[in-house]
Parts: sequence; C-alpha cells; structure tokens
Amino acid sequence: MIRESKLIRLLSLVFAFALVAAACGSDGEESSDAGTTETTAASDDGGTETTAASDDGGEPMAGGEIVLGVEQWPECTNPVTSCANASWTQWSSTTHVLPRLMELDVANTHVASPALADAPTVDNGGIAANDDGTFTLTFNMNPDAVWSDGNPITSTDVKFTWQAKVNTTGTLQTAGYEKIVDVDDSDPLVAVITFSENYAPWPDLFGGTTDFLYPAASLPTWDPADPSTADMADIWNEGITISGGPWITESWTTEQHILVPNASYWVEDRMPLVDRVVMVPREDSDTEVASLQSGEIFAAFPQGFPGAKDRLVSPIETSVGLGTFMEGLWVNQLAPGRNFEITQNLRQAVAYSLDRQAIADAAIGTIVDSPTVLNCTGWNPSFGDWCDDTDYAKYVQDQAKVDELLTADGWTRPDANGLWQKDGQDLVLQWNTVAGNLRRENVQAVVVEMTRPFGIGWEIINYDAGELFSNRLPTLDYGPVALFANSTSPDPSVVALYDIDGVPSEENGFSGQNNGWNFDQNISDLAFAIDLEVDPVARLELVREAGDALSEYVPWIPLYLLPNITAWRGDILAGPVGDYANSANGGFANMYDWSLAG
Amino acid sequence: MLRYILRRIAVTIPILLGISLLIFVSARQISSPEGQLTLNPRIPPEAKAAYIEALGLDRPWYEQYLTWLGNFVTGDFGVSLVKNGQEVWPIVQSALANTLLLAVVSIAISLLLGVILGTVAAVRRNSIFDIVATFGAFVAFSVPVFLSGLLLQLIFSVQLGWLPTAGIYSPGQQGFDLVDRVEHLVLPGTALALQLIAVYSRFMRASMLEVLEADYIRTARSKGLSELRVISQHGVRTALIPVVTRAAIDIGLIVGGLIVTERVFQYPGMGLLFLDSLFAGDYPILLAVTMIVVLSVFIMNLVADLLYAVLDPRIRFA
Amino acid sequence: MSLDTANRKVVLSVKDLHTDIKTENGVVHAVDGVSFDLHNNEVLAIVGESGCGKSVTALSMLKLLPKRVSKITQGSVMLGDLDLTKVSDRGMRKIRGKRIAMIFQDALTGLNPVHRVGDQIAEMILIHEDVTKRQAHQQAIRLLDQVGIPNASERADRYVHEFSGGMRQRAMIALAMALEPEVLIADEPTTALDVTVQAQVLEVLLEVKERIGSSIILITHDLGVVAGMADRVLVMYAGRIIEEQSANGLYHNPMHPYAWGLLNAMPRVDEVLSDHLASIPGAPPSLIEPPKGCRFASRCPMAEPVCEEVYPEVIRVARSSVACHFADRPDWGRALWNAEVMS
Ligand SMILES: Nc1ncnc2c1ncn2[C@@H]1O[C@H](COP(=O)(O)OP(=O)(O)OP(=O)(O)O)[C@@H](O)[C@H]1O
Ligand SMILES: [Mg+2]
Repeated sequence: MIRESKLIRLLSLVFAFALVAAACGSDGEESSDAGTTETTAASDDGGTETTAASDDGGEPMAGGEIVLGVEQWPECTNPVTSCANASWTQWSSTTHVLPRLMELDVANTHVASPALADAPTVDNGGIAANDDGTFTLTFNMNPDAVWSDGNPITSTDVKFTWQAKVNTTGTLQTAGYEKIVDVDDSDPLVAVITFSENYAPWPDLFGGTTDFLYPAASLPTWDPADPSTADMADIWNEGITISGGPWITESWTTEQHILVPNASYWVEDRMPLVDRVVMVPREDSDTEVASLQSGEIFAAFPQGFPGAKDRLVSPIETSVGLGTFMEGLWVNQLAPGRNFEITQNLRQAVAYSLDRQAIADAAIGTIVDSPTVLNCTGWNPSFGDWCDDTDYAKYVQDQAKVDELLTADGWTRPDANGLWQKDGQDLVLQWNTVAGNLRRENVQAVVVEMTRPFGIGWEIINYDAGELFSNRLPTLDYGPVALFANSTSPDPSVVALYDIDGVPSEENGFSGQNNGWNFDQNISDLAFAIDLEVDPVARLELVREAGDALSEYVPWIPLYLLPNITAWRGDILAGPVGDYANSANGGFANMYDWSLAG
Repeated sequence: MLRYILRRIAVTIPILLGISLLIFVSARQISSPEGQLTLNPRIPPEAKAAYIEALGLDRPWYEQYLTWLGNFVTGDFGVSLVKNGQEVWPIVQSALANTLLLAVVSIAISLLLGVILGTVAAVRRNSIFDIVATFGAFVAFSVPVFLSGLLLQLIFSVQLGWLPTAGIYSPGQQGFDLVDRVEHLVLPGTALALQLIAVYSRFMRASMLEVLEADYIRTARSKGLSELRVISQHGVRTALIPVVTRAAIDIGLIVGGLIVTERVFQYPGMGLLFLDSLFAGDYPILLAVTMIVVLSVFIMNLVADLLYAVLDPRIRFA
Repeated sequence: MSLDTANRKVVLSVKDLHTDIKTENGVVHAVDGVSFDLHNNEVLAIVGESGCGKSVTALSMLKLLPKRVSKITQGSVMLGDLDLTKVSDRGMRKIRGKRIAMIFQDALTGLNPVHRVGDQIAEMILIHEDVTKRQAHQQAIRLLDQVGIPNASERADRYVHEFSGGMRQRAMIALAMALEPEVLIADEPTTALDVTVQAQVLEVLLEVKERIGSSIILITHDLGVVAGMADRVLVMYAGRIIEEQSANGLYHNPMHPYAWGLLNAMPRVDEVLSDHLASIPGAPPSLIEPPKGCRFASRCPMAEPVCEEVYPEVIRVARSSVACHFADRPDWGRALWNAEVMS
C-alpha cells in the first residue's frame, strides 16, 4: 500500500512537473508577443463572461484556414432523423449551412432571420388566432434569399420542410408540425401556415433553437400533393450538400468536416472571412486541451470539465457562458424504491436542508470562478425573460422549516441527532446518478454530509448513463431522487415535462416525458395554457404564475447550470470568437466573423 | 495439422455464438438508441414509438437477436441503428484496418526492443542495467495509457511541437499521405509500445534466465562458441519462442483492447468505434466489432499455437 | 587394466586448484586444493559422493563456471605449457572443443532442442576450422556414423528429442570427438541411461579415445565402470582428493577408510555408489566452513582425536597417494568397517 501510494505521488509529481513545464513553455512564447493585455469583462447581454486579450495584437488577415475541435462527432448529419437529436450535429453542421425562419440572436432571443423580410407579429397581422379556433402565421420571405444552387428560398420550401418533418422515416422532432393543417405557398414570397389551434412556441418551428428550412429541390421526387414523398431519411446523412447559410460543406467524413464560404449567401455582414474551416473530432477533453495548446486546433467548445479554469490558460482564451443545461435533483414521486410517500412537505423539507451555493461550488467551482445557484424551475436564465430567478431563492438551509414541515407530515425525530422516522421507517431517500461522473458523485458526497444535521439520510445507488437514461428513467424505475442535467429551449414550452397525462406507464408503453415529477393538475393546466397563449405579455404572466406554483410544488430542486466554454487561441484567431459561448447554436455560431490573427 | 486447425475452428463456433448472445443481451441492457431521446421535450411519444418500431427495438429481444444472427451467419453485418441506415461492414472495416496498423507496428517495435532489453537484463542479471530496466518496466507498465498518452502529447506536441496530438491525418488533409499518416501513428504507437515493451522485456528476461540455466548453453560454451553466439543462437533463439507466441496472441487481443489509447489519441479504430456504439446503443456495430475481436483472438491464438510448432521442433500436433 | 603411467607424457596437470562458489549461505570452497596429472592416452576416473566437487573440478578446468558466482582462487591447470587459469576468455574459446572437450550427463538437456543435431556438431567445426558449411555438415554425418548412429545422414537433420537415450549420448560423444581434442572430460556420461545401454556407450567412448588418441577424465559414481575402463582413480571427498591409485590397486588394496567404504559396495555392481554411502552414518561436512582436521573424521569408524585436529599429510606409497593419519595400518581397519556397518 505504502509503496503504491508513493508511486502515485511520484507520478503525480512528474505529471505536475510536465504540466508546469508545458505551461511555462507556452508563457515564454507568449511574452515575446508583447502588447497583449488581459481584460475580464462581463458582456451585458448573452450572459457570457469573457477573459480575452484586446484586439490590438495585429490586423486580422482575410483568408486562410481555421481548425476547430468538435467534442462529440455526429453519427450522421441528417437534420430530420435521430441524427439531429445530438447538439453537435447542429453546432458543427446545420447551423452553418441551413437557413431558418426565426433565429436566435446572441442573447438567445427569437428574431427574424435573413431569410425573412420581417418577423410576424400580432400587430402586422402575421400572427392571427382565428374565430374558428385555427391559428395562422404569415411569413414574408426575403426576396434576396437564395440557396447555393441559385434557387430562391420560397414558401414552397416551407411547405416541403413541414411535410418532411412529419413524413420522413425516423423523424423525431415533430412537436408543433403535427398541428399544422396547411402551408399556402401560392405566393413564393409569402408562406401562410395554418394550425389546428393556437401554438405559442411557433418560433421554434422551421428555425429557432433546433430547426431549419430544407430546400424542396433536395428531393426531386417530392410531390406536394403526396406528403409521403417528402421523406428525407436517405439524404444528407454524410454531409449536407446544399446551403442557405454562410458556409457550405465541402466534405464530411467521420474524421473531418470541411466547410467553405457559400458564394451565393446574400447576407453581406455574415460572409465568412476565412477560406476554409476544418472541424476535427476531439472527444477526450484532455486531448482537446492538448490540441489547443499545440495549436492544432484553434478553438473548441468544450462542456465545462473539472479543472477547466486552471488548464485553459494563456495563450488559450476563454469565454464562459452560463450554460444551457440545468442540473438538479429530479424527484420521482412514483419511485418503486420509496418506503413512504414523497409528499410536498417532504420535498420542501429536502429543499430547506440544502445549502445550494455550497453544492454549486463543489460541482462547478473548478470550471468557473463564481458559481451561481439556479433559482428557477423549468426556465433557463440564459434564454429570454421567462425565468424569474428568485422562485427558489427562499430555499436556504432552515432547521425550523424542516422541523415544521416534517412534523406536520407525521414524522418524528426521537433522537435529535438521528434521522426522522415515520411508521418505523427512517427518512432515507434512494438517490441515483451516473456512476463515474466525478462532478455528480462529488455533489452526492457533499449533500450526504450537509443534510445529516437535518435528519435526512440518503441511500446512494449509481448506474451507468445508459442504464439510468435508457432503462430506468423512462420506466420510472429510479429515485425517489436522481441527479442529472436537462436542457431547455428558449421557448418556455414545458407541456411535455409537466403534462399530468404524460406520465409513462405500462398502458401507454412508457411514452411521455413527465417522468414521475408532476401530479399537480393546476401546473399541468398552466403548461398547456402557456403553449396556447400567443400574446407574449399574457404568456409571460402565465409563465411566472407557473414558476410560483412549481416552486411550491417542488417537482425538482434546481441546483446550477452547466457552464459552456468557448476556448480559443488568442494568438491565432481574431474577431469576436467568444461571443456565442452561451448560444443555443453553439460557440462556433458566428465563425463567419472569425479570422486569423495577423 | 489441418485436422488440428479444423478442430480448433469447430470448438470456436459455439463459443462465438455464446459470446454474441452475451454481448447482445448486455448491449441491449446497458444502452439503447432511444435512451438519447428520453429528455428531449420536442419529441412526442408517437414519434418516439414510431422510431423504436422502425428500428425493431419493440420486438422481443430473442427475435432481434435471431434476426441479427441470421444475417450475421450469411455474412451480412446489417445496418447501423444510429448512423441512419449506413452499412456496418464498411464502418468496421476501416476501423479494423486502422487498429491493425497500429497494433502490428507497435507490437513489432515493442518485440524488437523488448527482446533486446530482456536479453541484456537477463545476461547481466542484477546489474545496474537490469535494475533500471526492471524499474522502468514497472513504471511503464503501471502508468495507465490515459496518463502516459497525455504526457506524450504534452511533451511532443505541446512543448516540442514535433508531432500531432490526435487523429490519423492533419486537419484538411484529403487522401493518403504516408508521412502525415506515420506522424500521426507515432504517439499512439509509443503509448502502446511503452506498455508492451515493459511486458515483453520482462517476459523475455524470465524466459532467457531459464534458458541460460539450461545444460545446452553450457554445452554451447564448451564447444568454444563466443558468448555473443551462445546467447543469440542458443539462448535467444529458444527464449524467444514464448515471447513471440505471446505477441501473436496480443495482436488478437489488441484488436479490441485499445479503447483508452484510441480515445486519448482520437484514433478511429475498433476501440473508439466500440465505445461510440456502446454509448449510442448501436448494437449491430457493437456486435460486429465484438465478433471480429473474438474471432481475431481465436485466430491469433491459433496462429500462436502454429507458430509455437514452427519455432519449437519438440511440439507436434496430434 | 593397470597401465604403467610413469613413462607416459603428462597432457594435463592440475596443481593445488581452489575454486570458490558464492551462494546465499556463504562461499562454498567446492574445490579445495586438488592436484593430479593426466597422462597421454589414459583414462582417469574421479569418484566420490555427490556434492564432493567432481563437476566443479571439471568445469574449472574449462572455466565454464558462471563468472558471477565462481572464482578460481589458487592453483594452476597446465595444458602443455599453457596455464589455463591465466588464459583470457577469447583464448579459452580456442581451447574448448578443440583441445579439451566435455561430455555432459544428460544429452537430452545437453543438446539444444531447437537446433538439428547435425547442425550443432557442424557449428563447432565451423567455428574452429576453415571449412565450408557443406564440409562441416558432411563431417558431422561422418562423426555420427563413427559413433554408431544408424542412417547418420538422415539422423543428422533430426532434433535431439527424436533420438533415443543411447543415441543422444553417442551424438554427444560425436560432438566431443569432432575436433580430436587431447582431453575428453566425461561427467557421468551414462548415469541417465538404461543399464543395458551404458556398456555400449562406454564402449564407443573407449573406441573414440583409441582412434583419436586422446586422454579421458571420467567422472562417475559407478565403481564397476571404474574397474572396467579406468587406468587410474582419484577418490574425492569434500573438495579434496583423499586417495589416488591405479584402478587395480584401489580395487585390491584401498588405503583410505572412505575407499574401503566404496569397495564395500562393490559386489553389487548394479547399485549406485552414493546409495551405499548414504548409509554411512552422518553426512559430509559443509564446504563453506570445512573442519580443519580430516574431513571424513566425523564419519570414520577408526577416527581418533588427532583426526579432528590435523589434516593428514598426503602420503605417497609407490605411485599411489593417500591422505589418512593411519594409512600405514593395513587391513584391520577394513574389518572394523565391516563390523560397524553390519551391526
Ligand atoms: N552453480 C553453483 N552454484 C552454487 N553452488 C554450486 C554450484 N555448482 C556447484 N555448487 C556446489 O559445489 C559443490 C560441489 O558440487 P559438484 O557439482 O562439483 O558436485 P559433484 O561432485 O559433481 O556431485 P554430483 O555427483 O551430484 O554431480 C556442491 O556443494 C555444490 O552445492
Ligand atoms: Mg556433478
């Protein structure tokens, strides 16, 4: 034992030495590049915090080639099928080559894209709730917008996209599209979309967070009269061959993706500055950092990894975004492993026993400088104003509250230092997360100590990711408590998560996404109402109301956001490289503005 | 001899079937393509159900397995579940070629160096050289590849800038380029070779020590042969036999066993493919990879046995 | 078969040879002052209990002991004018096989299992003589034929595990005689063989000796063999020679009490000497710190206090020598021996 630990220490020493040596060497190179000053500036929108060298290091050069590291290489690039379910399919491919109707700006707010002449509003008649209960959206297309083959981007492409979304074999993200009853493309520059009922999250259709427009010409066999012919399953699996964005794919393989500027792109200020972008996979974060340090890749968009703060140092620059993934304790009220009912009192008591700031520090303290606690349920402060980041602020450690809530629920605590008890059962909650995930296991260790004085105990059983997410979560065979991250979209549509009828069960074949966390009719109704309210002001009110209700009901306990990082070589790249660190479109979204430093 | 080979193959088949069943069951248990969809609120239950049905994941597991098996025995590896219908075989084939290249090159170099180091250490037993070699081998063997790989990257890519950190070609390189390919082989090859040299040199040392005690070495000396000749012709020649056969077995194992090395160096081989398809629940690829690995282990074990017979005249097959 | 050795030329002369071997327990003085002469065309037998230093003596002459653990600390081995203890490694390579050859106990382990038998003989010829590979190979076949291996040209291409025990030892003899060395050392050449084959192999050995006119040092446990083919005998005990005699003389008139013990075993030819000596009470002394007196004293039926104290002077009687305080007292001792053992 002693020999072994000595060896490990020796190795760590060697390792540390190598790291220091590596860092020093890089510094040496850096210091010769005099005149760079480091500034730490929080940008006021988009929630990114940038540590960047000022731009006076030299004039950017036009042209050249940029190499980017991609953390998860897409299995395929088809934008309709399961391939599109991976964030990186969008971040490395679709975002750069396909047009949208509405798009997200740098602050993740929906705005009209360059393919549109303007955004539909109630005022300009673009959004209309009709008397017969149907709902109509009218989009005015930008007459300058063209595909790379020279064809204009028209309302027919919108119609095709709708049919392809619904009819492609293996299509997955059909939510919203099934509500469309018709797309009128009689005027190529006006797309009139009719829905069977109000559909408030419409900005995320044909664009927004994850969707795009597809050219009707990509499927020569498409017959508008026969929707089943709009099946895109067999095309674009290895690279999207056409473009309506700043870039066009020159080649795509499992080892690299080469993008070049799309000469037909009509948006002057989004014309790429460099001649070529090469994306290569870097799936291991250590390797990703090493490749950045060696200068083989110029930028990467890594998920926050432990130690990021200390390892992404000069000449690597970083821009940290709040994050688009929310991590928290999800509560399964139907957990087979529960020994008592998981009541609202109990859920609140658990929330009152946690020091969530300490948890955030333990989880992401090595990634960002000052971790912030997430205080809204369901909505993400990175997107729009839906999130009222005070909903959960009341849940701070409070022994009196815990006592009161649990006592009212019939719990007793005979031993003031022991666990609460009810009907001969100790208050011990089974808690699952992904085995081997250091961050999450850290959180578990911290929480176990943290809640001991409050008389709440844990039984920790962790599974590998596949087991937890494929087998246990969908069949509600987990918990009562599970720790994992969930993504949200800029739109506050949360029906799927809180639909009281969407609880997976044997009868419905375990479909539905309310994995045991909401059984409150009011919240379920609010979720549906939010989806139907097309007036933004009224909708925000509903969202806030839902937020308050959720914070009382405690279907889950939000903890923190997983930060996104854009990391790049400040000595190689020039331009606004870190601006999109917090974008749902990924850190490379604005790479058309990037250039090589002179 | 032929009968021996046939008998070995006959024994292999049921084992292969058993392993395929085991892999299938555990792959289906550990992960599945639909698992990725669990938390995406934009996927309606019906779309998910249709997807599962299209992939046949809703059928009883034995039906899925038998379908796969039926295709497999007719030489059809099927199509990937998550790569949107791409054929499995070309995917596996390219990964296999990459891994074989890495394995064969590193094993060849490791064998050469390991044999030399082991021989010298045995001949100069307990010398400074032997002690240093023993310690070095211990360190090289106990440092995991994710650490040694990272160190290699930091030294040779980041510090010295001599070699690329990852991949098999420089970004932007299209088509075959020997120099570029070899440059990308050096670091993963070295990371692998460090461990193999450690193993082979230890193995060779032990084998050589045993041989050096043998009477025929004394006989060789009594014939007036030079020490070099005694060691090379009579010592190494015999001591090499178990080491070479071990290396042959290693080739078989390494075809599937490079998960860490390939991940660290982003080397698109069988290990990386295995890992990716395991996470994705892509069992047709997973099974194809596993079957090839198992087959290669069997084949290389057979080759090792045959090699033994060729190298050692005392061994004959009945 | 007593030969008059006085008039013969001395081929090899060992003087006061000391060889130490380092072990975990200490330094073993395995050979502790051995002297003898080997005469031209003579068969000199060395007999003695297991572990008494016979093999180390032989290996010391050829300097085949592992250098790391062994050292010739004193004495000389004169081959003609050459003191082998002072010859370099390179020089020794020219002696080994060429002027002094050695035959080991077990040819199955003594010949390399992965090289063809013929090749192993040819290899030596090629090293020492200026011949082609082909010639060396032909020569090897001829040698195998001469030692009585049937179908030698085909056998030469076989491996040692394909040979029977007797044939292996014949091949070993063929190897040893290949370069017609002046001295052949045979270390228990027949121990591993069937009794029926032993005689044939020894026959071959003698034939070879006659043909090439060399001298033989024959290390054996088998007094029957000694009687049958040796001219002279050295009796070793605990690293030293305690008696030297003509074979005939030893048989009829052993002088050292230890030699009486050997002779006692004689009638039962088929048994191995060491088995009998094992029945002598006690064991030979440690060679790490040998007693200062007579080394046999602790086991000797006629030992007196002086034996424990003083190492007996070597007494030369005619052409024989013996190291015993009571060498001048004839046969009564032998009777005592018998009585002791019988009781
Ligand atoms: N390589 C060695 N390492 C250590 N000790 C050795 C070595 N060779 C011989 N000895 C020791 O030297 C002494 C003499 O051994 P030797 O082999 O000469 O005996 P021997 O008379 O040939 O016996 P045997 O009849 O069993 O062959 C013994 O005590 C033995 O243990
Ligand atoms: Mg011996």
